[in-house]
Amino acid sequence: MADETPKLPTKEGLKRIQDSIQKRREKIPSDRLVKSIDEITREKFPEVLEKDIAAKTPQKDRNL
Amino acid sequence: MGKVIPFSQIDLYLNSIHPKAQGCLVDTNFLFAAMYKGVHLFSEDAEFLFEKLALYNIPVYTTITTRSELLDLERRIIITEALMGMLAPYSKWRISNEVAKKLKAHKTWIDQEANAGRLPLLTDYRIKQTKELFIPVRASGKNGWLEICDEVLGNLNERMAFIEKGLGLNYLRLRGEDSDARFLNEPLSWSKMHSLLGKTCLSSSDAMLLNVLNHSIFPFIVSGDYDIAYGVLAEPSEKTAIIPDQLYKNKVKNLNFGKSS
Repeated sequence: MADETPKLPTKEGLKRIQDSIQKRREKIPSDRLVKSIDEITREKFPEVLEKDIAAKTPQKDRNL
Repeated sequence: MGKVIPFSQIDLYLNSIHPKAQGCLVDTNFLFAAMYKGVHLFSEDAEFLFEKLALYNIPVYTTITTRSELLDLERRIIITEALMGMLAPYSKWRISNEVAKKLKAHKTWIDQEANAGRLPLLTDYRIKQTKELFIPVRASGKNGWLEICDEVLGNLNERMAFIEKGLGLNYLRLRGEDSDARFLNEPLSWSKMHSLLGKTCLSSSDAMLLNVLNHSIFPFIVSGDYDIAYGVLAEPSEKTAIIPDQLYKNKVKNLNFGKSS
């Protein structure tokens, strides 16, 4: 005999699904594809880019 | 004659129907949109509507066909995410240049789809194309298709159970001794489904859903699909399709199914 009591939708249930999808997507680096090489480098190797920027910036501008 | 109303009139509609709805039907489009925030064009609207169904304690029913469609969408979005993630510079997956070239072409296409307001999902054809380029099992330091599938899709059974529980989905069993015949006003038949399919050129899955709606005790269906709205309007039964406002305003509001002049 079929169960007579139906399940009901809940806001919390939907939120759990949305959160799990968000969590899954955070593990995937696909959003990085739209970032520039500089942005990726800054995230991964911040010290490298800062040195690079400093090297390219004239001394007189560094103190502005 | 059937009716179509926009999501924004849901309170008005639910308060107007007597007796209170013992349930409603939903289609795949609506469920997927509610789950995937920011992916689907109607995701915010679908979330709003879903929360209204929860607020009014209206059980959500659907058919086994919708279950199958939802499973397919979940499979396609998970593999799309995984494949696109492989293009990232620090992806853990090792792929051949040939695969990378194909994935870049897919990425361009997906971006175009997203920009056009369509679902950014690889089609089955594109997934098959990609599968053909992968080696089945790991070789020469490159990952194989089977291990990729196992990692990203291996838990699909648990995943679907989690989704169905979270959505509070009730699947109608329409045949056999254990059927939910109490929800039907009259038995379903293939011939009725064929008629619906032929009447407005519905897909078979939409025709099945509409057939259930027409012969069930449920007064309305929540859908994100123009074809469903069109099918409901074309029917003489007193059923209602509830669809996103944008779809209603742009494509459905001015449809005239009255007598020809």
